[in-house]
Amino acid sequence: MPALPDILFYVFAYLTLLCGVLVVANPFSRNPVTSAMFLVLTILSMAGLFVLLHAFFLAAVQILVYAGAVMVLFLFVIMLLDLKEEERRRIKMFGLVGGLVSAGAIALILLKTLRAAGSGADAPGPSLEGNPVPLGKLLFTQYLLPFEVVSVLLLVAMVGVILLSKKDSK
Amino acid sequence: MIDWLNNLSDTQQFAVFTAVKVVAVFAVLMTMVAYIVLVERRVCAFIQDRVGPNRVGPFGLLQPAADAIKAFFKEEFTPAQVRKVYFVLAPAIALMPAILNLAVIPFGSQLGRQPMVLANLNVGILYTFGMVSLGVYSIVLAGYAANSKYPFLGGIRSSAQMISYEISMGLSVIPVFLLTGSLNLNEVISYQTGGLLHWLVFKQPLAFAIFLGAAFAETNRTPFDLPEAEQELAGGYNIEYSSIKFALFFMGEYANMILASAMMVTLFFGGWTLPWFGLDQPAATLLGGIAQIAIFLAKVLVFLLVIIWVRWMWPRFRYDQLMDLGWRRFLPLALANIVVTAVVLWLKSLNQILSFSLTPRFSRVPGDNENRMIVKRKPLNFWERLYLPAIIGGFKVTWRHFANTLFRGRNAAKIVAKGYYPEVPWTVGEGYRGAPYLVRDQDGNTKCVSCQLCEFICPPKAIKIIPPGPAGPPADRRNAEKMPLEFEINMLRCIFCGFCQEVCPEEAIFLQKDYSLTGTSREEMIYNKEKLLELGGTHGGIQKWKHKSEEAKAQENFPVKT
Repeated sequence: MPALPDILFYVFAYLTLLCGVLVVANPFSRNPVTSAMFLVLTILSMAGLFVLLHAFFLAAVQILVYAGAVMVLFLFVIMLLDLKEEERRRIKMFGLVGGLVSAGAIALILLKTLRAAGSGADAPGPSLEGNPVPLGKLLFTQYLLPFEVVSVLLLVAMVGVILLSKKDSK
Repeated sequence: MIDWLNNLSDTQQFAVFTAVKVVAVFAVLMTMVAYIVLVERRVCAFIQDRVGPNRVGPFGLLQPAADAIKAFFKEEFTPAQVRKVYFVLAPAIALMPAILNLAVIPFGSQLGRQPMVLANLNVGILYTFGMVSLGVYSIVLAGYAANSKYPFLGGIRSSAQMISYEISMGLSVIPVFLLTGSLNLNEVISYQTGGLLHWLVFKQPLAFAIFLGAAFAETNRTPFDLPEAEQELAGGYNIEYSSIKFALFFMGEYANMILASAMMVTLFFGGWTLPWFGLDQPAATLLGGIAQIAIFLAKVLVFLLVIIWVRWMWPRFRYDQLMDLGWRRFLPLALANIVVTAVVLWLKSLNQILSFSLTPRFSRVPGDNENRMIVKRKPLNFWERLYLPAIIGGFKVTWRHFANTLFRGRNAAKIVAKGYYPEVPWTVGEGYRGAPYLVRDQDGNTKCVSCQLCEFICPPKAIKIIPPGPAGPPADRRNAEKMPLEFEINMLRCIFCGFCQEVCPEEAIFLQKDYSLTGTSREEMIYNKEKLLELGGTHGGIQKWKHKSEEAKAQENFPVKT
């Protein structure tokens, strides 16, 4: 009998993959809200995978930021749009081929990287262990520059949005 | 039993005890949800000079059971236009965030060797916020599933509101964790031991104020209950729901309230500790452990009462005021609080002595209120702008009514009406619009001539008339051609508007003074001709237009020739 974490890993991994597929290619419904809800499920099952890796902090942030905030905004926008047209739209041949090619390319790159990286069985265990203190230390010492660059990027995006929404008030 | 437990391995013991704790915590939560509804109804009644539900069991204590049975056995109606999957999904996930969140709240120190928390997570608070943020889905999906305008608006409002206040809520507790240096809720509690003034509410009053406001918004409670505003949205996201599905939303709201109270107690009021009698240390005895659980529950109860009290004291915010408060007041204040706390801690760590206190000052946000309104408003003076005197005044008024009803048995209902409704029947005022009944004339004949005007005018289509037809029975009075073969009023539909009385040319139907119509089935509530005539009684002579023309003459410019 396999151990419980192993079973859970397969449950969450298959759930992630299944929901991920259903986000983009749901045979039962072309409703964008359904896609968004499956994306939420994908995110939640990925958080489950993080928990199995003992990365509780990442799991909590994943749920808090993506499932709790970003996806709610997604839903908010989807609901305000006219959904009927989206539901009627047919899948185009070009889009299908393009999507499959890019998905295949990414899978190829991933496969090559994974094979080059080795099994990782003897790699040191994760030092995060749920405690956010070492993570914070790393972010503000070793990775300070990328961290700040990312925050500036977010600031730029925010200013851009404000500029766009204020445009016609002159 | 004990032997069996001691023979288990550590993992198995952990599993057994955790299962027991999960069941116990869940049972306590559900009981609290049931009884907090009763408390809310009683408190609200006391504040409004009523008695509230007091019939089922002693002091109405069995009311929650009656409510639950009613919710289960009510007709469950699924409107035709709803999106079925989401319609079922939304109420199903309404309770989930609150229940999942309970896992990390420490509700006591320990009983024996068992810690009184389900999961002692290092990222406890982040987990809590994650789950709280998932709470919005049930409301948004309910609004979407209903596939009609008002629930949809409720759902949209809710998602915007919850996202806005989540940010303020999350930022408001960061100073708490700057002080305690941990995200673990147990360590937050142990930081607050050693004296009343160590409670974080006294060290971070601003953080607590923002958290309290945001908690009201996150639980959709007054003054932020915009998603289910009865006035504008006819009930909000849950209009289309009935029976147990509606009850699940209801339970979700109260479970969230309990959770918000538990969070406030844990973060700002010392959790299960009291600074006296050594109750702030993990309990060594079984009795001490139970006492600490009781302390925690008592503190939670106090907050629940405050939340309930506030609901029956304040009107709700306007939507733009809600957004303004969230984004332009709470958010900057919370950010300032973080910066100030961080700077203070930094200076302290530099071993510099601070002789002055750094508390952020409320600054007035420049608004364009002056030009926005057509009606000039009187500017608020200093005390009014502070809101505090008004808040205290509101507490005073509501408390006076509450205390008068609960402790002295003396309130407006007792003084004016000399008692409460079922024992002391209500005196119906002049011109009261009760149930519409048919009347007979002085000879006992049917006045109605089956003209069907009332059937035509009736806004809710409650009246149904079957005319006699050519072969039907003639009228039972000489000066009329016919009378209805059947005349039915569906009292479940009737809105007592009085249009039928206004429109009747024969003065055959009148709104009378009956106000409590009861029945045990739908069929029973459809009153037929015999019943209506019997209830209606006799009305004076056949006047037909006489005083209507008098009325017309009294209005001089009314063009009536007589």
